[in-house]
Amino acid sequence: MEQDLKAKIDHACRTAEDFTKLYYESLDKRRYLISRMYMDTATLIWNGNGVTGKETIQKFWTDLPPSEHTVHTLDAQPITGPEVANQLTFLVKIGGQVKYDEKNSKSFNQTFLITAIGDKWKIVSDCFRAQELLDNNTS
Amino acid sequence: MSRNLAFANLDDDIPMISNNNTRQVILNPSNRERGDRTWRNVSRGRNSPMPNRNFKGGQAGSRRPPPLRESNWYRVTIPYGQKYEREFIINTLLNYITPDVFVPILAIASFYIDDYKTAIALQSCDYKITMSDGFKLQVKVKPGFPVYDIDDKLKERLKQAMGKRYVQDTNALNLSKFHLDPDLCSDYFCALFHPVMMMTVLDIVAEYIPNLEALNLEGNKLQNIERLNLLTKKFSKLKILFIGDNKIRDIHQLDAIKNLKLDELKLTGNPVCNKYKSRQNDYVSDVRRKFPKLLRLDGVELPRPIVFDVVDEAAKIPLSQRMFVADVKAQEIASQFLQQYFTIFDSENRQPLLDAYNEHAYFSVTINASNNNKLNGYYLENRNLLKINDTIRRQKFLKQGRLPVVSFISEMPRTRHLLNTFTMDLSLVTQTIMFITITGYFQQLDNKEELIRYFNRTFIIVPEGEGYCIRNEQLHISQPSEVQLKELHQQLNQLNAQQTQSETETLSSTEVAKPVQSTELNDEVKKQMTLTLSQQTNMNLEWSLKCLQETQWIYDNAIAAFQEFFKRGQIPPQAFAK
Repeated sequence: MEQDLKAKIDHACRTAEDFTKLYYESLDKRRYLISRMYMDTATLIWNGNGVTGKETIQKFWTDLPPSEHTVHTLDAQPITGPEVANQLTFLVKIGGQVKYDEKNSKSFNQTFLITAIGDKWKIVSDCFRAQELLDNNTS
Repeated sequence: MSRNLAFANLDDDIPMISNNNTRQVILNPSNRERGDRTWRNVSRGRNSPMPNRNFKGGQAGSRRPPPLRESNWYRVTIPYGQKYEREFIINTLLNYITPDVFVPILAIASFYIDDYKTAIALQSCDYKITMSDGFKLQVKVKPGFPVYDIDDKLKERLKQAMGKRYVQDTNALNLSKFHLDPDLCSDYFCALFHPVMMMTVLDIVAEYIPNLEALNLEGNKLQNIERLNLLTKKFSKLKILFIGDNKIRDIHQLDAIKNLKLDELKLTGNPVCNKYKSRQNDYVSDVRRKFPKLLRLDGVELPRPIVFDVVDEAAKIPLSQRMFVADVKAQEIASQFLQQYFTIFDSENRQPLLDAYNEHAYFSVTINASNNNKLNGYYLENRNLLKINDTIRRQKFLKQGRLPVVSFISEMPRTRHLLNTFTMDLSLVTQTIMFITITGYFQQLDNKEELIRYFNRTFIIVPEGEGYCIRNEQLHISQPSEVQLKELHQQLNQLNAQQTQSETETLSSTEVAKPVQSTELNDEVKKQMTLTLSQQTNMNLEWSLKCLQETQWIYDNAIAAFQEFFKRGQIPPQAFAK
């Protein structure tokens, strides 16, 4: 059991490394294909704006200006326990800088729940936040 | 159009400056429309049509060719002039060279003028005027201008002179021929062609009229307009710019100001316009390349531009929202859970968080490495997989199990989270799992400065017993930007001021409030309550009992009291001893 857990943690780390490379490459260079990385029923929350479903997520990303992400930190954990049963699921958090439309870059964090569906990793949930101080009138 | 009128009115204040024959250089057709300005009508009466200065050979005709080189500024010296009243000399010279006129700048024993033709005319006065006492007046003219420092006294004078030139109704400022301003020119040489003077004047404008919409800089002998890029930085609302009758030679010089979103531009009267004299269409299209949204050029309406139907990218970025939750019930659960969590987290003792974690919980921290040096206190264990490649440390830096997690958390510096900066996203909500991401700012209390940090923290919580507990948690800490820090410190100062006030108010009101009497509970219920409180707060049974007795056995009050004292760090360690 102990060995099994260790293997799971390693697996999570290696998957997260590959995932991060692929994800930001797609987002910055082949954004029209980004929805392939999401589950059909996935959720994306971008700075508090939430959309659900693969197609809607594709549209949301397509509408955003061109981006350039630089990743500085990466962390990953396996999610264990009866809730996810035998479904292999990892939690991935990224920290970095993003530039939209070649404007000033901002710090951001993005947290993903990714899960294995058949022989493909898919995003269940994607939560993006830019590091910003919201003004108190924002709802 | 109304703005043009505003300029015209302002010009009325300074009619004496109107005669400048260098203006006649412009050859493009729009030139003919200039008669519509009030002061120009005035000037025409006194002003004979002069030939273009490019034909100066013909102009100097009957006189000996003066050895005067063409310049923007001339110093005119009257040797022995102090014998006479200043006014008298000036008037004598004006009479002699009539119909030409000039404005003497800084007249003492010598003065300065700003026009080549007048300079020649004045030079020709040398030994021509016999004064009433038989003295032949000498007039020496040389190119030149004075240089001196800009002190506070001058700045004050500049402000006064500019105040008169501002029209509030149209939000327009007229700085045309500023060096000839009647309030300034007798004491100062305030020429805007001088970069230091231009900067000083624009700084004053930015300070008093940051929302300026129209600016007239005509007739200031501006040659190098590089410095005008200051306009794009300081005056984002500027829509109308007059820079006609200057010395701008090349269309590319406009690059310095092309980021202005101009509706109207006046450029006529600059050497650059001569280059286009037979190519009016090229002129318009070259100017429009710099200012695509221009609607009027040199007083002429331009046809509306036809643009490509592309979306303004910047406008497409959705505004940030503080919270995203798809499910109100889940929001309640999450909010309550987090409120308890951060209350304990910010307290002196984080041990009670043992109850918040699942026995197989995972916890890890990442720190933005580029700011590592600034994040003292969090050097502990940065589990950044981009930097930590060996599996052993990757395992070690991932805290596993309730006890290791809480003891690790207990080692972290004390904190005060700034709840009003929080954002909350509920990304996934099912019966069995909830995925919550919180961001915000907190103060680190292990140092005197109480440094402010930014965090982004994800909790995966699952139901356990009556409540929820954390299965996975990832914390990311980084340094806020300077701008954010400034804003946060301001907010904190305001908050502190309010708090001192409201604390005094609550104190007086609690004294008045009477304790609510509860119905008598039987011992079994009391025992059960004590047990539950003990479980929830991690206090031992003895202290849980005490707490309930003191709150008249109202469970919610007991919890509230616990949290309140916990926050203040007033619960002794023996309360948790078991």
